[in-house]
Amino acid sequence: MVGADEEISAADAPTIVELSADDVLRARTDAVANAGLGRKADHLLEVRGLSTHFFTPDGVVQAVDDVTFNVGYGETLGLVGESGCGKSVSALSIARLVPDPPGRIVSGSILFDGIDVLKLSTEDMRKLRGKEIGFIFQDPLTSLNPTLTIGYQIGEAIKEHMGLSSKAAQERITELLAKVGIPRPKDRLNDYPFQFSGGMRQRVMIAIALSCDPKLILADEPTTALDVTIQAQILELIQRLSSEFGTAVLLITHDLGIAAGMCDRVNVMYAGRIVETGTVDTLFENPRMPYAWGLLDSLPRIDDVRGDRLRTIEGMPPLLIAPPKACRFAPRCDYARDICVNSEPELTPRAEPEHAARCWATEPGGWIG
Amino acid sequence: MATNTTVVGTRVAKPKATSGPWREAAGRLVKNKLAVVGLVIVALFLFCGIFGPLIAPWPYQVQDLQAVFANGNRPLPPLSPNHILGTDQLGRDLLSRLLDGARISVTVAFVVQAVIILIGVPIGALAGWFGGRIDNFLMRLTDVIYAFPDLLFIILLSVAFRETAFGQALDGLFLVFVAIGLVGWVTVARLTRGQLLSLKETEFVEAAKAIGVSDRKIVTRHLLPNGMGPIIVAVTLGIPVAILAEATLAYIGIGVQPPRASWGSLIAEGQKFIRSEPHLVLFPAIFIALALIGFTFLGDGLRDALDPKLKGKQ
Amino acid sequence: MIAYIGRRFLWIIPVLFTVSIITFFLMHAVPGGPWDRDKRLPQATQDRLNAKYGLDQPIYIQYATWAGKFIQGDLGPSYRYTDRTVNEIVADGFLTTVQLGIMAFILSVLVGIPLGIFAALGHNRGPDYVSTSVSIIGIATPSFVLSILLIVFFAVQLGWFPTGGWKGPQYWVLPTIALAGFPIAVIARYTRASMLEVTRKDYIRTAHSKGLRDQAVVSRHMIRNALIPVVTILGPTLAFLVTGSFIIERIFGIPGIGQFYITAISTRDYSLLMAMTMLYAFAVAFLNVVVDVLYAYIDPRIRYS
Repeated sequence: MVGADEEISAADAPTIVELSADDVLRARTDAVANAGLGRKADHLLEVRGLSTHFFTPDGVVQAVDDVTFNVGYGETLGLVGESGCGKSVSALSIARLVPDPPGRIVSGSILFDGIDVLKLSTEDMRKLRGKEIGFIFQDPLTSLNPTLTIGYQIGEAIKEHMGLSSKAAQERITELLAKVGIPRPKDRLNDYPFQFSGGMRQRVMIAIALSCDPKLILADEPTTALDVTIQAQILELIQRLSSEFGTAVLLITHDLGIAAGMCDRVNVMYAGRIVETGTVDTLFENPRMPYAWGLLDSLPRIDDVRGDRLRTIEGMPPLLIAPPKACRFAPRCDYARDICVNSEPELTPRAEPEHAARCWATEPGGWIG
Repeated sequence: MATNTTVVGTRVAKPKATSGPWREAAGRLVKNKLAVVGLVIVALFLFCGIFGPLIAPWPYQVQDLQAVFANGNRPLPPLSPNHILGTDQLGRDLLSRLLDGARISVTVAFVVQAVIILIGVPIGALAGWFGGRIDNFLMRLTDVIYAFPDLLFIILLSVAFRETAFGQALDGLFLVFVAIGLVGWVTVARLTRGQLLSLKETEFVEAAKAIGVSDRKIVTRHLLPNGMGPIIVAVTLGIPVAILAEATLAYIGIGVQPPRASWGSLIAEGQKFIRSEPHLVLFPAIFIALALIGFTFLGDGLRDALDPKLKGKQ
Repeated sequence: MIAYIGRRFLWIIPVLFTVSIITFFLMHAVPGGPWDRDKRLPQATQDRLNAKYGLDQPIYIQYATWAGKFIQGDLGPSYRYTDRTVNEIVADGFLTTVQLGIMAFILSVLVGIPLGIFAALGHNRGPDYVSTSVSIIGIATPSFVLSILLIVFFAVQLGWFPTGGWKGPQYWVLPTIALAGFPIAVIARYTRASMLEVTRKDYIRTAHSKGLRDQAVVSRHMIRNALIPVVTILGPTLAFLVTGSFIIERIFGIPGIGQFYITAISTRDYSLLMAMTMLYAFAVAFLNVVVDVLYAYIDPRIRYS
């Protein structure tokens, strides 16, 4: 039995391979083509006008408000924002895992490989989950059943969706464990979650998410609960596996650094809305929304002077019960003007391709050039 | 960066002013319908118990033999003149006797829990705070008490000391109460110990120690008030157990002696008339049931209200 | 693990030892003696009887004598029923009492747990109200009241069951129900609360995210984990059944060992009293250890540490 603080030896550790952007793209296209996934639509995931509300005794919380975005086949999209901005709820909505009561998807459509997920029966949706959509949750300690072996938990989705024989399923589970970097997988099949360290448990979660070769993985803050040193390993693992299998990833995080390292494109969310979207390069080089500026600015820099205060965005996000018809960031914004308080800006395109921002000030003709 | 404070009209969320944890808990409690029902019942119960003799239409031992003779030598049914709930075979007013029973039950509730707290909390606190050998010894002691067949031990104690002065106090009831308490303190002791064990390791205790606050003060001023929640719940939920024990004992004739009327003894007395005058058993049974339900709902409500996991949830 | 089990069982011995000491001395603290009958026996006769039974010895010696015999399985003579030994008296009733207790336990678990599970699954809807109502009735009705009501309704009024005695299966029904009433309520409530808590856990969300059928999520993930804490209240439940059986035996006239208890105290039948207390204490202590071991076994986190 392995101790809980077990670390992987150098020989067993996954290698960190530096891939160029071209390599990544090529690998993904190849994988997608080889997997025989028919592209039934332009994008794997098309979310249109999604609104998810929570009906609480204190009022209706509009956690996700008219959100629209796409995830391409094999693409890694980042959903970035602070706590409570609606990013996790968006992901849960895609998989229809929002607890009802008190939550409910009140409007919008979610097209997954051309199928409107919101119109499916619960039974059909159930078949989609686990098979085509995999989920990686934030806290692997509480997200794994403490009384079942990890081998069993990884195999559940396989047995449910893939109809393999016990032997074949067993082999596949062992293979998956090896793929996610668990040493001596055969021996560890019958171990329980508490016998693994945090990083190992998250690898198990990744194995569960990938168990049936899904087209999409929803990763909700997959490394937030882990030590910094393990974070890099896990992120690299997710990146490598998604390239290898051509899986699209919706990565939810509050950490811009992670988004920068992992994603092709990024959506910045604030108070239930998408406030900026663009490729990683565009967003980090030329953000066009004061909130994004604030986020980037708040990252400590290596050339900061010691003793200076950390830069923050003052104020707090607004309550999402009966949000006003105005820019939701205005109260905290240094550049806000009357128009910002009187009407809400739309998500409009900016200079670069695929770049859009929701800000009156940075629009063509606005008061920030 | 200066905030643009002239931007008015959008609601900026202020952090909620934190009210004390007790006030929050009280708020949660009153929202819980069952708990409120329990609270009302408990309030009624306490009222009857404390003011019983004042509001009772008859003294509990007075025998209205005339009325019984007039009724063909049978107990009077409910809604008879002067006897709203009827009488027993000796003409004693049932409502008044039920109120006397309420008195006894209220006393049970408080005396027993007082004994339990007086024994259980210090022992649990000592065990939790000092740990080690003291903890071991005290926990073994609780094992012994726990192994004692409760009812039997109470009976043994009650009968053993029945003749002594101690046993005569409160018509023999005091002995029973103390006996019930003596077998019942284990849960509270274990709870207190558990609370202390977990709170002992918290940082604010380290801080207090660093400043040099004495052990005793740490325990009494910091740990106990914070750990009180589950203990309050346990005490509240322990009251039905005590009432039940007293009623069962009274039923088999231990504790309350005639002419005093515990609900349990009323049932024993009324048993023989159950087919002809069922009210003699029914009303005491209903009173017992209400008391048990009331405290149980209240205890459940307190437990939910004081649950630290629910703090801050919407 | 084996060491843990062994230690727990061995611990019963000193516990019982302490119980025996406390009981013995308490018993002898009661004024009067076994010869106090309606007729006062002449002092000389009393002295002679005391000498015969060793009751004139100092109390420590009396205890030692008792303990010595007890370990060898000799429970002593009965002071009340002078023609029989305690061993004989107890043997007759012991199995009956055990049978009643076991039946009530099985009933409590078989009814209580499913009741709690269905209440949680049908939270705030039909099954929840039914189950909660049953639980409320169970905790609000003392076992002696329940017994009376059952007897009056089912035995006297409807005549389906006999009112007392223990001569065959139909005699078993009412007493078992009466004894199980309270435990059913407690177990149901506890199971319901535990299930509701488990429903909120993250791993249930993970199970759903795998696209498992609802039934699989409930049975494999929810029930398993919810039942683990429920095992912890089985200990006190068993203790309740052990001591509560004695009331039921009195009411239904069941020839178990419970019927002797009060008379043993009032007639100061020392040996019988000691034997009975030790039996009950042993039952409670033993069953508690069994439950603890069971709990340690079914929770893999404890089993493997």
